[in-house]
Amino acid sequence: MHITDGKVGARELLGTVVFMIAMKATDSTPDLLIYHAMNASWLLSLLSGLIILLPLLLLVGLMKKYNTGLHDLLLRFTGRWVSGAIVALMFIGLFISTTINARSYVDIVNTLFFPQTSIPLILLSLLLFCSFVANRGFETIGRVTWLMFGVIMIVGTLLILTTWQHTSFSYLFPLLGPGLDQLLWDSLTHSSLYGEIILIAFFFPYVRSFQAYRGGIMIGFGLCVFLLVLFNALYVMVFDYPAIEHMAYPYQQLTRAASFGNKAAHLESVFLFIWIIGAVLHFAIYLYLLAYLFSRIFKIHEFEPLILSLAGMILLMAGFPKNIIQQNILRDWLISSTSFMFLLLPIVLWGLHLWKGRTS
Amino acid sequence: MGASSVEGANFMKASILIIRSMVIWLPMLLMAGCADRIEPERLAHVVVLGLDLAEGGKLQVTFQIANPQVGSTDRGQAENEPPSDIVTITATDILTARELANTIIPRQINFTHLQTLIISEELARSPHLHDTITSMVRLPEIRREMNMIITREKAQVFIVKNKPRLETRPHKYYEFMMDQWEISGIVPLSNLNEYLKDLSGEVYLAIYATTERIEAPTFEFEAHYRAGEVPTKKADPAQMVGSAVIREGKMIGTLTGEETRYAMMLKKQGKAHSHITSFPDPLKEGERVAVRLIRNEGTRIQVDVSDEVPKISVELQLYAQLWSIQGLTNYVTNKENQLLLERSIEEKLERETMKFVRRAQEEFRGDPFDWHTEAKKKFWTWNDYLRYDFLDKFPRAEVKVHYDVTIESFGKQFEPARVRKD
Repeated sequence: MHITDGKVGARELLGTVVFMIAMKATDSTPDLLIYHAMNASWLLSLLSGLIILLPLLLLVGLMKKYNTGLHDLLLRFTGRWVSGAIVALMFIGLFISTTINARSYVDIVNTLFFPQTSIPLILLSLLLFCSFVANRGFETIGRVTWLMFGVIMIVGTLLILTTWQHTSFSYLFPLLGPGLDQLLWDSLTHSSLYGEIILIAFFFPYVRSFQAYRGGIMIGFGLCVFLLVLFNALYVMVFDYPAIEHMAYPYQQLTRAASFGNKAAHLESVFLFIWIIGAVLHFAIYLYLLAYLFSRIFKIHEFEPLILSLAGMILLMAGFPKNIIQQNILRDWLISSTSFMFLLLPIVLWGLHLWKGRTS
Repeated sequence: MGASSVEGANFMKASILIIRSMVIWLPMLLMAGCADRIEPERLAHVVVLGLDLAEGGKLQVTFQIANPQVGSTDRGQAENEPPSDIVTITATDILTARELANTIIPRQINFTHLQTLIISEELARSPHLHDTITSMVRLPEIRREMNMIITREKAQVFIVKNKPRLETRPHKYYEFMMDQWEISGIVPLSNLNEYLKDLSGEVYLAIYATTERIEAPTFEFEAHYRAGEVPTKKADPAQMVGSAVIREGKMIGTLTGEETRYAMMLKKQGKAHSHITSFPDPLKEGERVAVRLIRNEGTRIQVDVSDEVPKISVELQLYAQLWSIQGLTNYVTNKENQLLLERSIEEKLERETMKFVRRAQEEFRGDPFDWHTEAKKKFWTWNDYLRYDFLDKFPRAEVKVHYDVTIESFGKQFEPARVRKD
């Protein structure tokens, strides 16, 4: 019996976007931002968001004109082989990113909470659960993320309230950190922080209407930028630069600092619980996206069985990095190299659209 | 017939599915996280950790392990057990000391409830203080919000002797003291997080405590004492007054309670918002007046970094509540006397504060007031701030402190009652 039409609305899309991107404020991404931008990591995330806004608007405009998803746009403008190559590039980039990210989340859990449990075991559990969630389809993922969205917002507010007494606004100064020129360059190379907002355009066929898509994406994007800026600022406000440069996992440390009044309330277990749920949803979305991209290269129609095999491959590949330092280096290189792809793709597509419009 | 065979096929499919999922799930339920599980009764919670210097650069680590049955309704089952167990081990660092202690204590020692760290002055004055603390922070179990107390004597002696008569559970003593510190300001708020922020040449103040009794050099008025000098007879053993001054990872001196109070008051925000002090009576030589000074708003700090030498001006708004007039002078209904008292308090405060600021500049050569955070606001990039080198210039800075005292209440009497002599 069909209760739904299998499509998602704006709310589910909003939840999906938030779990894809805003979860990056809580893993090892702030380490990279702080390494580059010192105490101005919040400004770095803000500038990156502003930089990727233009390509995003171009893409949404294109989708409105042709009322179709990113894959069809690519096919229309670049033909079968070039679009296949572009999607393959995106797939490889996203695959390496998911592998390293999954490994970093597992490292966080292993270092801080379960030191004696073996890393492959935690990796197996994580990927198994994520593939079970992803197997249910995009609509299910969307609805679960919308369900958890309210919970995450409440818990996030609780975190801010309980750590507010430890914050000091003055620690954000000097505002420009390493200097405006370096900040601008770093925000350009790190704009693939928000790169998945371009990739979500592949799922346009699953969304009910263009208005729903636009509403979900723009509100979701704004909310993600806000959350990333807020959390990066919060880390510096509580721990102060340069102490935070030596800290490996700022989000988990922040939850340890959360307290009601003066006594340590050990609230970090509540926040850990919610974080794990967020992590599972985060990777479920990535797995689904990876399976989708893979199927688009080779024109496979039923791609949900691919999810489990991709999860298996990620499990094998994620064993490669030795520890968090290697992962951070790889991650930095990956972010810098994929940024330009995400930035240029909508601009190139728009350019092709204008060119085709002129000649036809 | 067709329906039942379809149903039969569905049943087969369903049962295969269930069996398949159980084959995957069950072993996982048994394997996941089992390496890190532990029962609560197998844990020994350390609530106070003491660090001393031992020969050969080693550490003498003291664990005070709390007995959870004391102070709870379970007390009846453990009547003869003491409230805590103290174990001292010499090792190279805390983690190895913990491993060694696990050979003595049958439970597994863990740090999840560790809230207080006690360091002896000997260790604090040695170059080992910084690497001890920094290597401790690496452990995930150690919290950055742990309080740090520096003691005159060895930490082990302090922990053993610190048995307050009305607090059986050791962690409660430190917890309650913490609440008092926040109000009185006679002791700084010091935790590891604050220490790790002050590593670039700022001065960091840590709580100073002792169980020894030291003859104070001269009899001073209340808060001019350091730990151990407060004149008491037959009281609880430990005293926490004043602070230890730490700069660049080493302890370089101590402050009295009053100086610590000035250090807390001159900071931009936060603690030490009300305390009771006495001031000399301006109209009667030798008598004192006791007031409670309340700071409701933050201190206004202005830093001017346009010149070679930074100029800092600090303004404090204090409200005074007059509680006791020993000399029976009428400061209540006499308006001029009120103003006189206010002015006299302001002058005394400004004089003492400037004395302390000069001491911080000349003797400690560092900034205990977090004024460098205000200075940072004047620069756009980190490099500009480092190039100006505020902390290096601080000993030469021109500092001006201005107090604005307003008497807001006088207790529940008007002018002091006098003995009528006929």
